[in-house]
Amino acid sequence: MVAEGLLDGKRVLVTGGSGGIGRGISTVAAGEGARVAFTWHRNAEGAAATQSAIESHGAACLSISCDLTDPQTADNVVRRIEEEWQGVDVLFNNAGVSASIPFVLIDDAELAAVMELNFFAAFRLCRAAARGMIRRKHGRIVNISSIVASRSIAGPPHYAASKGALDGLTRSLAHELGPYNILVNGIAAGIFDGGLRASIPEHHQRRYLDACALGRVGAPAECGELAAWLASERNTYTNGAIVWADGGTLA
Amino acid sequence: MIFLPSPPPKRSRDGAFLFYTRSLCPQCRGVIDAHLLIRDGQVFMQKRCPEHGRFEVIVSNDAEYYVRSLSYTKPGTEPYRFATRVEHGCPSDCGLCEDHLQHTCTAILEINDKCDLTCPVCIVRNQNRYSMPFEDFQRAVDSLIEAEGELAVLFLSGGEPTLHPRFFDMCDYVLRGPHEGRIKRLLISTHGRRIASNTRFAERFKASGAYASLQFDTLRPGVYPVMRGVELLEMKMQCIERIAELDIPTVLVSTVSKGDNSDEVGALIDFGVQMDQVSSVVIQPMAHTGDGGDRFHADPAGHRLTMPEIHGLVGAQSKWLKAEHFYPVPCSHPSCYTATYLFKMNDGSFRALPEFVNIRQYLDAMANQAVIRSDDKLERMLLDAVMALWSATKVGDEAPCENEVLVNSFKTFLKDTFNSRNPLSPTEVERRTEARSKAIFIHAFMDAWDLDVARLKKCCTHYVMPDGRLMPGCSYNNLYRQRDERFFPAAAEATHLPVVS
Repeated sequence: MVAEGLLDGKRVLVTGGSGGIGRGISTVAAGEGARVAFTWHRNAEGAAATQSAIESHGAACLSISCDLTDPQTADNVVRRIEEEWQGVDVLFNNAGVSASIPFVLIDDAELAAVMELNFFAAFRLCRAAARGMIRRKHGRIVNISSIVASRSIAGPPHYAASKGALDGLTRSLAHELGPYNILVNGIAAGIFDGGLRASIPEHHQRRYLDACALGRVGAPAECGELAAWLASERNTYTNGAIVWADGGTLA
Repeated sequence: MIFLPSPPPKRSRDGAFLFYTRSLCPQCRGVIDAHLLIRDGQVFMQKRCPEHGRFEVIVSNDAEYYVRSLSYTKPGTEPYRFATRVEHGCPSDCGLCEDHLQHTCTAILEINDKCDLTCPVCIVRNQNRYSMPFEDFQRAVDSLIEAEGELAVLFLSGGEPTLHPRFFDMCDYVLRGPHEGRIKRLLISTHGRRIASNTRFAERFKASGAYASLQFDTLRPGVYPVMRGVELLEMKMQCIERIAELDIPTVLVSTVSKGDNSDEVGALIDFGVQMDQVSSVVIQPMAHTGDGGDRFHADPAGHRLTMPEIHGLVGAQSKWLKAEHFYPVPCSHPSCYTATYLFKMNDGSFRALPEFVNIRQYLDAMANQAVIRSDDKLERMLLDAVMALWSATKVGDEAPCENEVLVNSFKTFLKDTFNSRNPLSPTEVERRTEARSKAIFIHAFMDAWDLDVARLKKCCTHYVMPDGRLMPGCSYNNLYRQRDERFFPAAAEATHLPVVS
């Protein structure tokens, strides 16, 4: 008997796939039978590594270099995948940016840059992907958020605000798209290897590890496992949830 | 060996049995058995009176539509009280009896039988003797509210109700009296003469808050003399001008007689739709009761227009409406009332909702009421329509298209009306919904030829009697009107009337 993958045959889009959690989700999704398209910006080396990881599972891969802060990009990315694969079944909004800056020193441009990628791009991607999902009356969206969105722990305020906005979007879309069999969930990620971990000051990471019940940061594939399940057909009732993946840090 | 002659071949019946019902003898008005059958793709009623013989009448020119339409049904609603006991069975216990399957959606109160016209197609038979005492009127309205609590629509009718000396007092009592707010819409069934010719009357009419339910049968000369006994076109157009000038909310009601004005259905609908003041157009295929039955077409064979036939006329004559846009209004029997609701686009044009909404949701939005609901079901239906239209095109296909007008119009309406950051009162939501929508109704009354108790059972258009009884429209017109002592005192003495419980 051949074990079926959680995402067999699904057409998956992962944003920010060139490293960290994005690569973890891409790799797990490929291992679970999905065709994986991922976006990346600037990190060509990382993108090549992600592509290799996806293809090592024998999965089809689309590597898309783009700037998601351009308002046109979300539509262009979804259209590109629709042209190749005729649709997007699952969207993982993972791309994000952060910079550890004290509140009083954050200028408008820095605020806008964080909101543009972490929230506006995610919003536009949800809208672009939902179009075909509504038509097909099926879809899954998983937004990668952060534990700083809902808990008072140290984190850059503009980053925390952008993830709070993303959580609001997740819950609202769960209501609005649920009737069309589109389930929308979020993952409140703690600290994971790679990706944004580099932007977190060392002393904050230490406090996190002290509090973490598992005493370690997460591996990107661990977030990928949860994301894959939330996006799978096995998930039929979890909708509008923000699921914590923080090793029990805030438990 | 004896060779027996083979028996003669048995003859087949000429149609396939559909169901059994009860009806009336068109001659003596006695209640008799009847059955419906399908023949040559049409539905016929056959019945036999022991005294006057066999009758056959066409019920639907499209058997497939007829059978399908029966599935558009919903459980009825009970009124707070019934008025008569079940003694003889339908249709002999009207009032409503406790076996009646629907409450009152639309009530008709005849406040006089005086009229300055003698229309050959009139479905009643005015004796020009009755003018309802104001106290009786108050009692009738009170009893209506007692039975229903609140009501979507009340018609004041007659006769010509605007000739009643206390007409405006009656409007006041309904809209501003002790039951203020309980009756959503007061309509006055009028020929329009007083509005057309008397400025002061028209201004008072506007101030009363009532809707004009204007008889409006044609747009060309020569038809009114046939149907209404005299040329009325100029007067009707004056009335229309006055309605537009004073912004009087109006329903246009067109009686349609085959061969007389049946080629104008599309034009009449277009005329009503383009008027801001007109909230709905009602097409009433000719029913042969009252004067219409006696004098216009004594034998209506060849003059009947069935429901799908009217839909077909609309489809053939209109540039934008189709027969498929009409669905039975689920509150009544599907052969009595069909409708299509129209939605106003941002550019001022109208589109039929069934073109682009989910039909089950649409029927829910019409359920058990004669006007479209303005609640969460409407919001859900429009939201789903937006989603369906928006998702029908692919990402990037943003070139202006037909759907864009629809989607933007829905978006404007949803934003203006169901805006949770600025919740509106239910009345305001209703007002905005009405401003955005119109309805085309087809209302088929029955006469003694096609009366079917299965249709009567679910009738929701009821005449209000001064004693509080509520009479299903077609049972009253065909059976009880002749015995109503207000109009026919001598006849009433000798006849059985339902027992008031």
